[in-house]
Amino acid sequence: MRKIFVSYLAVLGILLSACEMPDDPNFRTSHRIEAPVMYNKTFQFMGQGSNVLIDTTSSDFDSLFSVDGDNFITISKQEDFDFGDLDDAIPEVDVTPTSFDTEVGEIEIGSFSSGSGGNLGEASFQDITGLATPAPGDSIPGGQSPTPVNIQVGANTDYFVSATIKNGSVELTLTNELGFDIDAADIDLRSGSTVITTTTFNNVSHGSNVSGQFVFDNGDVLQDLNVDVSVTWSAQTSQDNPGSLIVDSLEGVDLVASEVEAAVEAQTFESSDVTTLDNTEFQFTEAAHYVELQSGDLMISEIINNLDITIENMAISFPGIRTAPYAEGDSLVIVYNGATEITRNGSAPARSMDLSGYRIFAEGNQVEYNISAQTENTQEGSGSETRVISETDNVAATVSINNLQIAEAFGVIVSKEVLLGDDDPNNGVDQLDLYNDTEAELTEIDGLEDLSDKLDGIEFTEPTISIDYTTNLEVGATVYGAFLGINSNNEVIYLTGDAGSVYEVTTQVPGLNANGVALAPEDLIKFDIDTNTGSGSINFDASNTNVDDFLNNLPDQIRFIGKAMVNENNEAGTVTSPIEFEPTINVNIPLALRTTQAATFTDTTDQDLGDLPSTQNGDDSRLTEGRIIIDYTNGIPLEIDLEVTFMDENYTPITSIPISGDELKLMASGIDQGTQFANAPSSGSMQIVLNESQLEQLYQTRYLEISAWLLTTDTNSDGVGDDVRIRTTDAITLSVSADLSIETEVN
Amino acid sequence: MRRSNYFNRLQKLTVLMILITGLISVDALSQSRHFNAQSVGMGGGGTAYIDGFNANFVNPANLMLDTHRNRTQIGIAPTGFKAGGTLANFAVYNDYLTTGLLISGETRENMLNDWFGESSANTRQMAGTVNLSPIGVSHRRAGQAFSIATRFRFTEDLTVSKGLAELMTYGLDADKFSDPTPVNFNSSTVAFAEISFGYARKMLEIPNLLFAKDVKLYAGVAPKFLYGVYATDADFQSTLQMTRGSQSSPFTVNHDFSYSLNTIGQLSEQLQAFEAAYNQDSDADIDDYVDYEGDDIGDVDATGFGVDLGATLEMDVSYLPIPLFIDKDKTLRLSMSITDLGSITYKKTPSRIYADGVFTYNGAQDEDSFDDYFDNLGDSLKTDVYGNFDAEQTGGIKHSLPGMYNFGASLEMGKLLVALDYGFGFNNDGINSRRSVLNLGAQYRLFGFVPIRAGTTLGGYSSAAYSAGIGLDFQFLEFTVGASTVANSRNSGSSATAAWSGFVIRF
Repeated sequence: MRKIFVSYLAVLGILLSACEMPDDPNFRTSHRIEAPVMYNKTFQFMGQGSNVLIDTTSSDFDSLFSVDGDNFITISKQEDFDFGDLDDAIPEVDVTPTSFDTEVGEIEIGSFSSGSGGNLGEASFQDITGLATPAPGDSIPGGQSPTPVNIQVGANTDYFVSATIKNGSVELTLTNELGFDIDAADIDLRSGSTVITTTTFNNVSHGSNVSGQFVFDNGDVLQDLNVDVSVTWSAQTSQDNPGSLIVDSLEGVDLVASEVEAAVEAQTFESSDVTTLDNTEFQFTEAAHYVELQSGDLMISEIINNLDITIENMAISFPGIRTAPYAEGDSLVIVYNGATEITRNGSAPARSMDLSGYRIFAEGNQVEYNISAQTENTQEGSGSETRVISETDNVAATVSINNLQIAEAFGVIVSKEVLLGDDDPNNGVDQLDLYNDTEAELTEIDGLEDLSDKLDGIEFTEPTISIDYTTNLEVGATVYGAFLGINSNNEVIYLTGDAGSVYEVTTQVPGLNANGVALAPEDLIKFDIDTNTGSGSINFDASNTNVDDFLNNLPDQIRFIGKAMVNENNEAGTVTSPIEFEPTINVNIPLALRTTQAATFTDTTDQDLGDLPSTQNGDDSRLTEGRIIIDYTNGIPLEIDLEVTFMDENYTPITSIPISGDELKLMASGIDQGTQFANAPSSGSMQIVLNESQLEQLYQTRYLEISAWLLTTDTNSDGVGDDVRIRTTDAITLSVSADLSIETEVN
Repeated sequence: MRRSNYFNRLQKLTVLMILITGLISVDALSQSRHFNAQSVGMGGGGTAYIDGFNANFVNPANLMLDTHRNRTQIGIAPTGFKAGGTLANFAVYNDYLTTGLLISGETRENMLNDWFGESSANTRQMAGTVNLSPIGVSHRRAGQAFSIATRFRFTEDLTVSKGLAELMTYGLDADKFSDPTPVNFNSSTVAFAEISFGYARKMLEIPNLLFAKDVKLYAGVAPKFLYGVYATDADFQSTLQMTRGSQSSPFTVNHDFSYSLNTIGQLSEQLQAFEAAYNQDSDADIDDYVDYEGDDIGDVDATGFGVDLGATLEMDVSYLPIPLFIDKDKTLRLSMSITDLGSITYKKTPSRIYADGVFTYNGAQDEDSFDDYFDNLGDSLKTDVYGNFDAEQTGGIKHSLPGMYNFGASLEMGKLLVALDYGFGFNNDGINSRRSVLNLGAQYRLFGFVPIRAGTTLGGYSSAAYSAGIGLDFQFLEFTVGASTVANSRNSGSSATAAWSGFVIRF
C-alpha cells in the first residue's frame, strides 16, 4: 500500500508538473500614440483668450496694447506720473502784526448844566442900575450900570468843572425881568477873575430872553465860571415891578476841549491804519487781487482803555477782509459792546477770529482796518458825574493776522522755482538725483520689461511718448527735467529734445544730478505747462526728440527728476490749493517695425517633464520615438525661425530641436507695399523629430528656452526686412499632430 | 502467491489506468456542474456517485445511494472555486509574455493571432465562479431519502474582442486602425443563494436482471428557492478607426460605440438620477450622482425557483468477470440528471442605460479655446460623449440558471471507483457552455479511508483539465480536497478549480 501511495504522489507530481502554469511575466510592449493635437487652428496675433499669440488679458500685457480702426497695434502704456508736489508754488503770505493806539481826541462840551431854562445866576434892578426900585409906570431915567455886576454862574454848572478849550464857543442865554428895556448889555465871561471873552447883547426888552456866544481861543482855560454884566438903557417908564437879569444857561457851541473835567455827552472817536502783507511771494497789484484763506486767524490782543470813561461801543472793521460773497459789505467787523464794552480805565480781553474762507483784498499788500468808538454819556444816569478827560487818553491793542494757509490766490505770484519730487536732504538741499529713489519718480512699464527681456534687434519706427495732464494752475510753468530710461539689461538713455526744438535745454539747470554728478543740458528736456485750458498734452516724437532711440531701448523703468519754474513772467493769475497737477505718461510704440538683421526673441518657461518615462530615470517605460508634424499658414509679416532648448534644473541644456540640418521655420507673409500690412499668407509644413537618445533625456527637463529669430518680410530678398505693420488680426493657422512610441518593460 | 502477485499487478494497473485517464487531452470545454472535493478530484463529474446533501445539486436520486457510509450526513462550509476560459490562455501567455520578447511588429501580430485568431472581431471569454454551501443535511432511509442544502454562488463572466486587445497592445496606431476595428467587451456578474430541498426514493427493485442482481432504480427531485444577492450586465460594442490627415483633411480618430448596462438597486437609481439631471442640465457631473458603495447587496428584491432532478439505476454486477476485481463486490450505477432548471429575476428598481454614439476626435479646432479644449476634454468624454446615455426602466434582470443535462456512470469495485460523466449546458452563461463535456475519474480508497482521486475534464469552457484529490474519508467523517488545472490552454484556454469538502460528519 505504501508503494501505491508513493506511486500516487509521484504520479501526482508528474501531473502537476505537466499542468500548465503561468510563468512570471517578462516582456516589453511597444505602444504608439498617434493623435491630432489641433487642426486648422488659427492663432490671432493678439487678442483675448487662448487662441492668440499675445493674450492682452494676461497679467504681463494687461493694458499694454491699443488698437486703432485698422486693427493696427500699438504698444500703449499709460502710467500715472507723479511729478511731485506743486503746492510749493502756492505763495506764502506773512502779515506783520500791527498795534493800534487810538486817542479819544478833542472832547466836545455841550450843556454845562443839567437844568433847562434854569437859573445859573442873576442880578437885581438895583445891582444893575444902582437906582431905587420904581413902581410900575414910574419913569426911569436913562443911564448905565454904575459898575459891572458879577454873577457867579459856575456854582450852578453841575456838568462842568473845567476845560482847556481848543476852539468853539459858549452860548449864554439871558432873561430880562428888570421891568425896563435894555439898550445894550456888555457881558464878560470870566474864568475866576480872568476875563476870557466878552460879548454884548443889544436891545434886550423887558420880559424877553436873548442868547449870545462867547468865542474862545485855543488854550482858554475855563473854570470857576462867572460873568460881569453892565447895561445901558434909555429913559423910559417902568413897565412892571422890577425883577432881575437872569443867566438862564450856558451851552457849548462846537466847543471842543483838549482836556475837561466835566460830565460829557457820549464821545465818538475813530482811527484807521493798515497792516502789511509780505510781498516776496505774492503781490496784490490790483484791488481785485486777493488770497482766499484755507485757514488762518486774526488776533486782537487785550484792549487797554486808558480813558476815565467807558467805551460803550467800539468796532474794528477790516474792509479788505471779506467773507463770501466778498462784497464790501461782507467785510470783517469786530464789535465790542454790551457785555464786551471796554470799561473806563479797564480793558477788553483778547479776541481771535477764524479767517477760514475769508478773502483778503490787500492792494499794495496792505490790509486797512478802522476803529470806531463811542464813549458813555456821563451826563445821564445815576452815575452821571464829571470826569477828567484828556484828548490824548487812548485805547490800545495789537492786531495780528497769523497762520495764513492760502486756498486760492489771485494776483501776481512771484516767479518761483519748485522742486518736483521729494527733496532728500542727505544728498543736499534742493539737490535732486535720478538714482535717489526718494527723489526720483519711478515709472514701471511692466509689459515692456517682458518684451525687453525677450526681444532684441527690432527697430520700432514710430514710437512716441506723451504726457497728458490736467491742472488748476492758472499761471504758466516750465518744467526742466531728466527722463532716464533703463531696460532690463540696465542699458540707459536720456530723453532729450532735438536741437532747435522747443524741448531742447541749452543751459545748465542746477540741482539736477545723476549719481551726484550734475546733469548736462543735453541730458535734459524741458516743456511748458499750458495753463489756459486746465489740461494739456506734451508730445515727444521722433521729429522733436530722441524718443525713437529712447523707446527702442525698451525701457521697463523710467526715472524722472525735475524742477518747475512757476510764472516766470510774473503775470497775474490764480493758484488754488492744492495745486492740481495730474500728469500721466503715455508710451506708444506702434508695431510698425523693421529688422535690419534677424531680431531675436528668447523666452524661458518652466516646463517640468519629469513625468516623461525614461529608463535613465529608473522607469520601466521609455519613449523610443517622437515626432510632431506641423502644417502652418503664416499671416504675420515675420519670418520665424525656431529653436527649442530643453534645460535641466540648473539651466544646463540637455538637448535641443531641431536637430542639426533640420529647420523649424515659418516663412513670413507677404505685405502690401502701400499699407505695409500682411496680405499674402505663406504656407508650409515641418516636423519636429526627437530621436531615442533625446527622448531618453527629456525627463530631466525643467525649463524650456524658446528662441525665435524674427525677420520682417523681405520683399527684395536682400536679407534686410521691410518696414512692416502688424495688426491684431494677423494670424497663424496650425495643424499639429503627434506621433509617440513608448516601450514598456514588464517583468 | 500467484494470487497476491496478480492483485498487486491489478492494483498497479488500476493506478496506471487512473493516471492514463488523467493524461488524455481532448479539446473541450468545462461546465458549470456542481462540484465538491470528490468530483473535482475525479475530473468534475459526479452524476452517478455524488451522494449525501451534495446530491441535491447534481442528481437528487443519489440521496438514496448507500456508499458504505452512515445514513445521516451533515456538511459545513464545503467550498469551491472555478475559473478559466479561452481568454486565460497560459500557453500563449508563456510563449510571448514570459521570455523577454518585445511585443511589437510580427511578434505582436502572432501573439494576438494565437490568442484570438485572425479576425479582430473574434472574442475570448474568461469566467469564474465561487460556490459555498454553508450547511447541508441529508438522511437516507430504506426506501426514501431527504435532504436540505444551502449554496451561495457568485459568477463573473468577461468577454473581450481581439480589437480591444489590439488597442491595448498597439496603442493609437493609425496604421493598425486604418479600417474600422471592433473594440468590444461585455461582462456579467450574478450572485445568488439557494435553499434546496431534496427528496429521493426507490422507484423499482428487481432482484435479478441478466448479469445484474439487486437492480434498483432511484429517482429524486430537489426544488430550490433562489434568493438574489447582486446582478449586473454590461455590454460595450464599438469600432475604432484612425485616419491620418493632410493639408486638406484632418487627422481623425473615430470611435463608433454602443453600450448598455443593466443594473438594479442603488446603482440603478443613481444612474437614472444622473440621466434625469443631465437632461435638465448638461453640466451635471456623473460623479455627483453615482457613488455606488454596495450597501444594497443582498437587498435587491430577487427571488426565483429552480429544480434539480435525476434518476439513478444501481445494480450489483459482482458477477461480472472484471479482471483484477473478480472477487470484489462491484456496483454499477447509471444516472441521468437535469440540473439548474429555473431562473431568478432581480427586480429592485431595475434599469437599463444605453448609448449609441460616434466620438470623432480631430484635435482642437478653430472655434475651440486651446487651453479649455484639453482641460475639458476628459470631462467632455466622460459626460457628453460616453456618459451621455439614456435610461429606461426594465422588468428586471433575469438570469437563467446554468442548466445542464448530465449523464453519468460509475463502477465501484471494492476500493476502486471509476466514473464517467457526459453533459452539456443549456446556455453559455458564466462557466456554463452548450458545448459537451466529458469527465473521467477514478478514486482508490487507500486503507479504506484515504481517497486518492484523479481525473480529467474534456470539453466545456476550457482546454482539457486534469485533476487530483486526496483527504480523509471515514464512515463518519470526511475531510477532502481536490483541484484541477489544464495542461495546455493553447486552443481553448485555461481553467483552474479547487474544492474543499468542508467538515462532513455522518451518523
